[in-house]
Amino acid sequence: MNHDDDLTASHWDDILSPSTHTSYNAASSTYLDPEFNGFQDLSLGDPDNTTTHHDDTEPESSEEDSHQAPSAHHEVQESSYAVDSVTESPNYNHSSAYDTARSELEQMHELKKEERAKQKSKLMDELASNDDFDHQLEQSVMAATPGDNFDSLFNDAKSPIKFDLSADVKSKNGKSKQFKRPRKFSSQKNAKNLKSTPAKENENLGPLGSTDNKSTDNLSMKSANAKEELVKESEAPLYDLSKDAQREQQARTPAAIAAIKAHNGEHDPSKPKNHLEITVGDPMKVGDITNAHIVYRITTKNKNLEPSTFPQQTEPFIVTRRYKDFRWIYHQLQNNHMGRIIPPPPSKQTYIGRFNESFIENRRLSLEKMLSKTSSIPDLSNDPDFIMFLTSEDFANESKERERISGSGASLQNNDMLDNPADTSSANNGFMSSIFSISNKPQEPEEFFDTKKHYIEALESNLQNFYSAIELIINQRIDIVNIIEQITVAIQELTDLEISKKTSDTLAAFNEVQIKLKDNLDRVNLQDHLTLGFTIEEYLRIIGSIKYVFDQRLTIYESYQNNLSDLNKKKTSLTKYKSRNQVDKISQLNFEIDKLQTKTDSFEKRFKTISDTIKQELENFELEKIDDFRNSVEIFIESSIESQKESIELWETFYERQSLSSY
Amino acid sequence: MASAIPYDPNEFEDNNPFAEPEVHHVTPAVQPGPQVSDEPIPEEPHSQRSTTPDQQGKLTEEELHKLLPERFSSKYKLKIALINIEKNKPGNPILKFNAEVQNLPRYRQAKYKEIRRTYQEIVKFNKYLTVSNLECFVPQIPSVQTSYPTGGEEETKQLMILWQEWFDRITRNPIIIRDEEFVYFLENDFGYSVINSNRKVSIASGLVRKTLKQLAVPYDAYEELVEFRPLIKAAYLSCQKLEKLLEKNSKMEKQHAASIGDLSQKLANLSQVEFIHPGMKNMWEKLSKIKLIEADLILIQSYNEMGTLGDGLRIFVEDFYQVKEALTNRHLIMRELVQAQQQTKIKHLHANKMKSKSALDPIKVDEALRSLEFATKAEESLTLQVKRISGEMIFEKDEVLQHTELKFHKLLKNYTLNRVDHHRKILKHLENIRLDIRIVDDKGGLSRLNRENLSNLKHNLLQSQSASGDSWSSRTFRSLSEEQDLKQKKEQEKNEAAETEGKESEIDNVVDAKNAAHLLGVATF
Repeated sequence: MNHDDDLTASHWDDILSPSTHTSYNAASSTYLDPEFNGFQDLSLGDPDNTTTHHDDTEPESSEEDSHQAPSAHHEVQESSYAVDSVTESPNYNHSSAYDTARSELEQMHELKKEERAKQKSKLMDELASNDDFDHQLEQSVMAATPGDNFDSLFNDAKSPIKFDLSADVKSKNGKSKQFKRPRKFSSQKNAKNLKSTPAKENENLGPLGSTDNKSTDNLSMKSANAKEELVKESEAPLYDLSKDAQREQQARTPAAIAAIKAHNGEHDPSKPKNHLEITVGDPMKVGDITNAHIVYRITTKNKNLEPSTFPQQTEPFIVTRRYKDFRWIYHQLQNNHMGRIIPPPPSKQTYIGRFNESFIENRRLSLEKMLSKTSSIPDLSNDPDFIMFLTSEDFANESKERERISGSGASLQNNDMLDNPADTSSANNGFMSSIFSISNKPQEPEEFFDTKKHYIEALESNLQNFYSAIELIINQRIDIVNIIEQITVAIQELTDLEISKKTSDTLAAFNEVQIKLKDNLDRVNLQDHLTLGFTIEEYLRIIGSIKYVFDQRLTIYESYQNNLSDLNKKKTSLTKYKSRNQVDKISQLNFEIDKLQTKTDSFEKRFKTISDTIKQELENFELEKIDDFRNSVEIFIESSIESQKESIELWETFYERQSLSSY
Repeated sequence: MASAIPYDPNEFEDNNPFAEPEVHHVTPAVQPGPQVSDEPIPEEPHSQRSTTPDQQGKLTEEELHKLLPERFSSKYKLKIALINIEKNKPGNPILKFNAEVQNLPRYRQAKYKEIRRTYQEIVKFNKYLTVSNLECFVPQIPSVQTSYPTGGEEETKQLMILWQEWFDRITRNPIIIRDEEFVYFLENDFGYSVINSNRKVSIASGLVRKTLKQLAVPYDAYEELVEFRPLIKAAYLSCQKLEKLLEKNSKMEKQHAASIGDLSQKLANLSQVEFIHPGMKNMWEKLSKIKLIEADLILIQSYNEMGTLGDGLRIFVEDFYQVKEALTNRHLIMRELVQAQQQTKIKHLHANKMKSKSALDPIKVDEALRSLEFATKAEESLTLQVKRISGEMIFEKDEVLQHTELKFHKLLKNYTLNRVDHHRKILKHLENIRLDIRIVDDKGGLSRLNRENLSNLKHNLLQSQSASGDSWSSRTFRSLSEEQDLKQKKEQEKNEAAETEGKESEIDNVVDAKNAAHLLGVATF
């Protein structure tokens, strides 16, 4: 346990050091924060777990495991749960497998500690390979990537399809039951689409291209990892937990997502996950003229009857929040979950028109969507700040308190990304920032992020164009509707003149058609606005969130680089001193180097973590984007089709009724 | 002249000078024939005595026969068939037409072929007709400009129809075809200019007209016409308003089409960015294509809308304006009549005064009587003119109303057909890309309605407009196809008619032995 102690010590040293308060945020994003009552049993349970592991008899530990696995590691479980649930007795399987693996694992940990210090990705692989339970799969993995480390599994996209197939075949042999669901998905059209794309594309931008092999890999990794976390947690809290979170996200690749989604329907109450039903309604204007604002009533109902992280109450929670509060929770979540793409609130409106009815309705809808999206992400829905936001009666004070504790400064945070996503685009920032900041911007270490960044920016500008075009069309349609309204009035006048009885009749019928068409156009217009327009606008805001995440990552990278250069400087001076044999300075320097080393290491880890998180998040983003846009385009097309049908019907009826064919 | 005064001195004592004298005296009829002039020439008293004019505004049949002989004979006919529109200077094309004359005097030929008149010449002719035929609602020739793109096929087609319609309306009017100017219009070999250009507007124009319009409308005995003018005026105004609104709408729609085209461009750009997922790329591309088509269709629709409804309304506006002005002219003439009546009254009083004087100056008496007679005659002629105008207008009012009704229905029909066509096309294109959106990924979109196991993505993707009718309604009737059927039928009938005609003429022409014998046989016996 020597290594172990060193590692944890260095971590806590790092965390408590005032210079890097952001690291604390990172910690708070994990499950270790003792503040969060929801996780207290977790932090208590972990040491308990480790202490008992060594001495306990087999049946006891198996019991404990089966009990703790779901409760303490619900995040992971939830993703692996889908897999578990397919097998007939998941807990038993796990625990028994775990037990058999235990003794071996104990020994392996000694070795692992050293390797972990070198590279965490390598460790991952080792862990997986040492799992007896999964040995069949392990072989398959090893066969697929002989003597390779874990990273290669992810980044080796040069032959994604080939790999996919091999993994698939292996899993078939090994645990066909477990992979039932995922395979069903991966073998369908998506895969077909992906295969049809040139391999080069896959190589460039991984998430979708290499989705399938990853998903299968992740699933295999996951089941092994799920058990090992228990051990790891006690040994290397920060590392392990971040790994945990990361793994959880890895698991949320398409197959897993689908599995989760499928699972949500038949929710198991024993799960600690929150299943929230959130509605935002009743916008009300409050306050006097100087501080008038709108408050929204948020009604939350937890469908999970035995929540561990959510205050229990049979009645739904009803709280009132104003727009500012939504921004607060957004920023708070951003800080709590580094690298996560947080569903953003709608942008701030100019002072004028704040109380416009349609604007308020639009905002209400956006806010509701934001909350329900947030709650659909398990990590976020269990976030104590989020729960506080939904349930607290004394939000003003509690939010301040939490902000103080986490040191996030959420209420003061810069809102550029939210308020004018248009202006933050590269085109606008480009010139000035290129002059001032290009020199101190560190070189992007991964090509992946460079391409992604370009992609996101291109997407943003295109979506913006799309949005403005749609908006223009919508406005024009409103004008047309107005003109048609005037036309109907004029036709009515002409009808009332009754130039001849028959003409008047026909004109009246004509007018009726016009009025109906006008209503039709109005309706379609509103629908387009609410589907396509709304979706694009939402995605523009999400892109703002993504950019924020990129910035977060870069900030961490910068501090990592700074620390690294400091460390190197110190090291060179150390060698200098060593050569001169200045003993007093050497010890001083050694101490400093040690400190810096741990700091640098932690930054490196955090950087890796956030990078991986972002990768996962981007993948999810792509998938959700496809889903959302496809759905809204489908609604858009279908509603257009229906409106065309209605128009045809109206005109045909008019033609027939007025027997125009005789003229 | 003075000696011929038939005035009975007793009459003067009656103190009601114009109750009877006209009856005794002259009944000048407006000269029939092409010589319709604003200054009616009183003829010799007709042997036939006219009945008392009905002050209730009802003209008896007999009176009408006398006042409007043109209306009661179908002897005279003029037919003009527009053959072609030749290109000339912009805004002044040459109209080529054939004319056929039946029984009309002064024409040298019965048929005129390929008369060529420029549009401007016809406009002048039209103006002349308006001035010289005060009793008619002379239709206005439709503008050379249409809402269709200039010089396009659609425009030519539209102009052919509209101008032919104008010719038909002009030649259908029995009074207008007898206008002597028509002879010149048809017979001039090279070009045409108004020959009777010295015939000036007899009624007030310009400022005077405007001022007179402000005065109260004189008493009108003809009820139909009393109501007609306000109706026409209101119709004129609201048609004008409607036409302006339609134009605005069409402008908006053109902009709308442009921005949809723009959207299509934006979507194409977006599809370039979405290279990660082929399904999405495909979806955006398809959507972009559809939008481009839609933009084109909307543009076409905006042209069609103006071409049918807009142009039709503009012609209505012009026609209604002309009708309104003609009715105003009638009012002005009626006012003249009132003045003339007053004149007669004054003259009569003057003559009476003369008579009561002890010493009679024969010259003065002569003069007084002569002026009285003149005033009476003028009044007489005006009365007849008003009667003739009123009678004719009552006829033409019905014609105008009928024409309006027909035209309105035609416009709405064309408009409706265009709209149906437009929407059907868009619908077809929209339905074409539904599958492209569903196959973006394996989830199959919303159409799946959560049916996880539904493997067939192509359910309910059938085109809703099949040959057997529209899927969304039970109707089997299709306006467009019906229209086509009608056209085909007409063509067929025409062909058949032509064929039978051809056969008949063939039979007529072929003189074979049998035929000849038959003919000869008939002839000999």
